[in-house]
Amino acid sequence: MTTKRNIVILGGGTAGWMSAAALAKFIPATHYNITLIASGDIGTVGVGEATIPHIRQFNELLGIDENTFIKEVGATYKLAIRFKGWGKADSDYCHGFGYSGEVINDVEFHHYYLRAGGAATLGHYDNYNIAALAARAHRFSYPLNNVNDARAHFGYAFHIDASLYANYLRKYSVARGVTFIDGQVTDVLTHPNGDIASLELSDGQQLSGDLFIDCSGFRGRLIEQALASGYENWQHWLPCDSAQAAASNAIDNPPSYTLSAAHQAGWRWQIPLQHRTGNGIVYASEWLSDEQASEQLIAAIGDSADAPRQLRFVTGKRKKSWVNNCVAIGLASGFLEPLESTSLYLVQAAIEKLIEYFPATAQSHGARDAFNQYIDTEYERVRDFLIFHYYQNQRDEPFWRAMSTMQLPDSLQARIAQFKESGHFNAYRQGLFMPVSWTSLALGQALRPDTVSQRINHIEPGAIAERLSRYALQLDNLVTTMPSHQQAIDSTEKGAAHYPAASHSLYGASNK
Amino acid sequence: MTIRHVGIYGHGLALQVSAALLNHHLSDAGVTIHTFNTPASSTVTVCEWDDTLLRLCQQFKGSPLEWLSRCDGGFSWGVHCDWLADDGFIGPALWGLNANQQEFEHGVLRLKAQQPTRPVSDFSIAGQAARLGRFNFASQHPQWAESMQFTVQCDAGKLSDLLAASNEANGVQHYSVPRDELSSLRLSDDGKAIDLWIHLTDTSAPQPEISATPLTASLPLPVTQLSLQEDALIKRVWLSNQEFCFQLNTSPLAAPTAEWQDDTIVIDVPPLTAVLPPTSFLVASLEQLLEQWPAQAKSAANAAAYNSHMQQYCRELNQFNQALLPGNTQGMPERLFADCARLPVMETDAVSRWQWFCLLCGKGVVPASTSIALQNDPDSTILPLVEKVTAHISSTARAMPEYSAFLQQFENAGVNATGR
Repeated sequence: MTTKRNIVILGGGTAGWMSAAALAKFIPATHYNITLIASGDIGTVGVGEATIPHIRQFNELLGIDENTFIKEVGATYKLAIRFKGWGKADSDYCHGFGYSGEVINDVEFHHYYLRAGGAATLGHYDNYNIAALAARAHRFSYPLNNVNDARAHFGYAFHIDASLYANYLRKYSVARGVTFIDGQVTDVLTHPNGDIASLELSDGQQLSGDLFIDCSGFRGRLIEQALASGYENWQHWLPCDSAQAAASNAIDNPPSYTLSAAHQAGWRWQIPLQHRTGNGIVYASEWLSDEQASEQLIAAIGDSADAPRQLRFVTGKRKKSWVNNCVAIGLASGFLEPLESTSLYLVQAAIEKLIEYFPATAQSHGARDAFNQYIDTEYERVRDFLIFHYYQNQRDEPFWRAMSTMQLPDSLQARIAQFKESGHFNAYRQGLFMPVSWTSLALGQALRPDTVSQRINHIEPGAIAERLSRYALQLDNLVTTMPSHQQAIDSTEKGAAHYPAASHSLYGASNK
Repeated sequence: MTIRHVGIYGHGLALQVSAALLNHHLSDAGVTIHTFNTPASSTVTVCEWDDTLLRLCQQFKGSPLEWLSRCDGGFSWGVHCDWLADDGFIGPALWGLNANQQEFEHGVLRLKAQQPTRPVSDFSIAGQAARLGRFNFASQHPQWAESMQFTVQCDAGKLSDLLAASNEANGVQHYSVPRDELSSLRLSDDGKAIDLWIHLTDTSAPQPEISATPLTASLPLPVTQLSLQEDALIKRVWLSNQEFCFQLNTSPLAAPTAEWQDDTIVIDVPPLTAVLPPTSFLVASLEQLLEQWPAQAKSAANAAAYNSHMQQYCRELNQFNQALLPGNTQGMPERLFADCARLPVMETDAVSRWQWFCLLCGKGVVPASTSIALQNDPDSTILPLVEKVTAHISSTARAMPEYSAFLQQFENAGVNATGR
């Protein structure tokens, strides 16, 4: 008889239960025991969580019915992130989950848009992104399954209550054989080779394991406190180190976007759920006091709010997310502020890669090195995208002036320089944000390239403008045919919604 | 200054391919392509392509069939390496029948764990057809196109002549120049008008062919053969009417590079390499340039981004070449495959994952584990499914004509298409 191997997950937040659920689904129960340890005494971050379309793929892999999920976690739909005050104090643009315009004769759409005169002639760049337009109109419908229709070229995600999602996945996991232990780790015992042997719990119980998954949050109880992975601090690029979160009443016909509104030293979020609205303020404590942040948050969301909860963080990542027989996932692995709703995506990416590279033995150095390289790349590319939001601004406040003059990471410096010079961002294959996202941000925050593709020099700007204006009108008309966001949610609640298969892309089906 | 004139300095097929590709994409934008043809130094008369040749033919509104027929085109499912285990087959085609059969390769690896002598060529249409000496296009089975990917080899001189004629007809300006340094050409009247230069070199050309034999005594094979000797690889390639034999230096294997500095992009492409067709690199380097097409030739940031991408391409290519030959240190792909039968994320299309799988299996790397997601299913469920697909693959391969018969049909079709 084969001896079963033991997988021990530490932490009962979203990362812990997402890991447990995925492992319970994909790891054969005949060969592995999965145990999750969490303590009710240790709180989870558990604020309203904005997601990106990849969450649908995760749920689909787990076999979770989307309509059930929406009911269980109080979800609303999400088509975009709306950025107000980023770039300039009065700027307002969306990063939509869809393509802006079409790639025409191998030249990206924004070159045509800029050649035709850009915003001055054609209006907002958002006018060419159907997801952004629908989000601004508080509307929602599923993408169509007809690639010739503009309504096919977008993706969607959700705003969810992260605690409810964790609870839902807990039920899912336990039903699939995951053992839950309510306990607190008092000691970590290691083998002579440095591998973790067992965890000692406050009730004296010792839990041995072959593979440990650290989802214990910022402190990194195993990966850092026991195995001393080390931490790369990125605060010199992303100096926000504090947040306050508070819930307010639900919004009738809520926006189908996450709001990110910049303030004098950071930004404020609004995440509409069915039963309440999640709000929060992210700020750099060097430039804004806790009291000022609190006042600002309450002023923005009104009296209906709970008292704000204080959070502290250090932006960065573990030097290695997989050390010996321990893999860190979620906040234990690193923290990037949720400006682009990437928190659960990074959890998901780590889980999927761990399952893909699942080690036959603790000595799987090849798998470990490849996993660490993968996670490094994911974090660094999201990091660069976040820094770009801060760097590319023309605001007057001291915080923003400091941001616009910071020394950028080389990788980001190179990307921005390329865009300035040519209007082009090179694509990468591993990483979340494709050139379409980088371009949305650049144009939304008023970074105009010195030139656009010379390959369309022969086309008269007037002819381009005429065609694009017709296209924008067509998109506008299509959006008016979509139901309101509230109607879409109600339809889901009635179980009448027939959702499409999940896309593997942030932007839905490609229009290329 | 806007780029109006692009000068391509080099010779042979690389020169004509570059001119054709750039002219096709840039002529509408008012860019004139000038070719500065230097005397050829390479004696390699054969060129190898992946499916980019067919794609290019379609872009240039040519008939792939006609072109290949006129250039003595031959086809190959991949390469047979005589120093590798099982049958040493490395091909670009997908294992299984189509990409919907996710994790098929993990089923294969489980089967191979029980039957180590089963060659990897059993599990792809291309592999079985190569072994059986059969060939056909996927046109009757478009759903299997990925599992029937092949490479093409043809007479480089004839293809070059064809492209040159097409280029001339399409407005490419042609100049014959002595083998001067590009620096002196820049100062000439013709050279001064050029805004951006493409400098094509082949500094690591292989030895000239050691034999070229008409196909009278032996039958052509739809697979290229590589045999390892002390300091060299002997490569045997079959065109439609001749067998060629080349010697490739192995220390190290020739590798292409591309670098953009100031107003010049230097692309160094050996005419022949071991497994990965050099023309794929040439086309990839030009397509990347087109994607990043600059407003002016001296575009430091754009050039840096181009160089970064092409360096990554070369790294992935060199990683494969290193793994190909015995005795080199294990790289990340090999170590990861050994642990869990996976490959790291690749940033470019330099090497297909199937070529990696063939190579690593051929090297005898046995993964410590395969897909954990399939471990819920016992061998008694998985292995019969793999055998079922394999049987389907086998019957598909057997239904193809013998390669020599296919070539005869192909030649006849080409004659009809060209009116010869």
